[in-house]
Amino acid sequence: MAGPAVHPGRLWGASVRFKAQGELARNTGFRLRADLDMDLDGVAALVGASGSGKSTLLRVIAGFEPDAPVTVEIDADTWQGSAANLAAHLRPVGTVFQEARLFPHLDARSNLTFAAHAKRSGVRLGLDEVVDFLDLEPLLGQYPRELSGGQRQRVALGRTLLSPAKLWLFDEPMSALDSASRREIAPYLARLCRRHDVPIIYVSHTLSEVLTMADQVMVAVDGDVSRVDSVGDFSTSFSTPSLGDEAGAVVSCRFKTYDPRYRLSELGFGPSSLFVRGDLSSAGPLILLHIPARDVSLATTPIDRLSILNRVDGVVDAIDDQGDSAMARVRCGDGQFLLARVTRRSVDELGLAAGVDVQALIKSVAVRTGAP
Amino acid sequence: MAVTSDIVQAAWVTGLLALTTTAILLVASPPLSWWIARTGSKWRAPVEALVALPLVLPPTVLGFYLLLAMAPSGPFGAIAEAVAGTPLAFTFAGLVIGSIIYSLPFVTGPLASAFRTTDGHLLEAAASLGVAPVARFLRLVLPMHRKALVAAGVLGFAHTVGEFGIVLMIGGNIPGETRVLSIALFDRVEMLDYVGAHVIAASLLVFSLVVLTFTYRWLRLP
Repeated sequence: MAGPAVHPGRLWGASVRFKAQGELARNTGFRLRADLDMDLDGVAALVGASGSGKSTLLRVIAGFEPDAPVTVEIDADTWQGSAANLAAHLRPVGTVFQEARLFPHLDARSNLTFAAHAKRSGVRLGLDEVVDFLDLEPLLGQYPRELSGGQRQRVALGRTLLSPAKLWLFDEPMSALDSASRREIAPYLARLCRRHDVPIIYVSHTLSEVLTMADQVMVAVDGDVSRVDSVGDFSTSFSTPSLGDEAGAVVSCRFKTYDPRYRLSELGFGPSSLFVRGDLSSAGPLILLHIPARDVSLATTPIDRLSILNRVDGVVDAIDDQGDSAMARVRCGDGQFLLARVTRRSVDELGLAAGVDVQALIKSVAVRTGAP
Repeated sequence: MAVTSDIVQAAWVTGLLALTTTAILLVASPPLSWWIARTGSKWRAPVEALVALPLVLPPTVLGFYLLLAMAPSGPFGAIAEAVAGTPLAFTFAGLVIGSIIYSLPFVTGPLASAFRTTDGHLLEAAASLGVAPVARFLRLVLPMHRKALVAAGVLGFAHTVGEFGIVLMIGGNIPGETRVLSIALFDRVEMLDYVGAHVIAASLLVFSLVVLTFTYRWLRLP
């Protein structure tokens, strides 16, 4: 029964074959080396320090660096390459930039409908749906100079969603938004891309945003973009920059049953079960959970009577000494990992080390937003 | 009374010439200005210099060459004669062509300066939405620079109203056809009709002052 772990590209059905390979050097000394050949599916986060080439890669894909010797292929189409070079406006890709870039001479409504006559192929959303969700109705008659930064960014987001696209590129689209609207809009975007089978490449500096939205993670290091992880591997990798309190594994589970008596859903996680509050029967076959490391305790002998429902058997894979505390990575039945934050004293007293059998006691799990 | 009707007729020809010239320039100049403002071509400097020639050359120099070109024996004159049955020199059409060349830098220059300030990020955003280059120019660049367009149009119009040397060379002095106000003024002075000269000169002076005042005021409005 041990199914595969979260597999990049197999989560939500249809996927887009994506290839970006080549090297671009600027005379400023900046260098981008892309070597990506993957199935894009759902939300692919692109993370890395500033100056690591994230925005440049998006510009190449969007068609704003036509001279860059980088091959860009989407499904069977070559957008950029030695033989062909498709103009930016003909590439079915919608870009949301870091700045809103609204057209100053047009009100919000005309900004939103600017692409109404665009002739390229791709998915096009309905005006009403977008206006409704992004809460743009009260802004429609206003000009960009009358809008706040967050309002402008919402209009810009809507404008891009209303242009025909097979792929969306988001360059930190929510950096201008307050955290409340961010929490609201992020899951909406994730749902949109799954419902319409339009994958998103999403540049983000906020790792917690990545953990709650992304299915795949591309990592840019010093202009080098070649590593692609599933969000599960990314979340449990010790080389992932510290997330502090947010650190924790993202795991995929299958829905089993819902027990209305206790209002608990039972999810299959390898050979074990996890219980989550609420009815998840309509959340789709695969459910992603975020399990904060701070809420996972480890026991070396089975504990029978305990109020914690979620107990998973596993084997310690590695221990990372992080100064004040330690992070234990535990391999569970089906090959997925959990992270547990433990004290260094516990490591010594329990003799935690790679290969030790443990039981992980999970106090809380969060169903990831953005399930279809 | 004959004096007045003569002036009115010259004013009519002047107005018609300036309007026609401005209309044609407002269609032809924006693409040319855009090219000048944005191109990296090695031809930009020579083309810009060619457009700017009327700024530095005596109008009579331009007028002389245009006269040669538009005369029945000249290339354009011969074509016009073959097509329309009349050479261009000493016709209203010839005057329009001369005025377009003469006023071109006054429309193209300000427009190119304005276009240079276009935010390339907005053009990228429009391209990312699937909007083609020509549509980007018509729906984004022109509306964003509508003030510069109006200012360039006013300058072109006022400058055409004030031209003299080229008209004298290629238009001659045919009442109702090519006699414009500046020529009529010259006539009056030659005939020592200082009253008539005053009427024309003062009218042109006041007209130019009023038009420029209103334009500059409007340009400063938010």
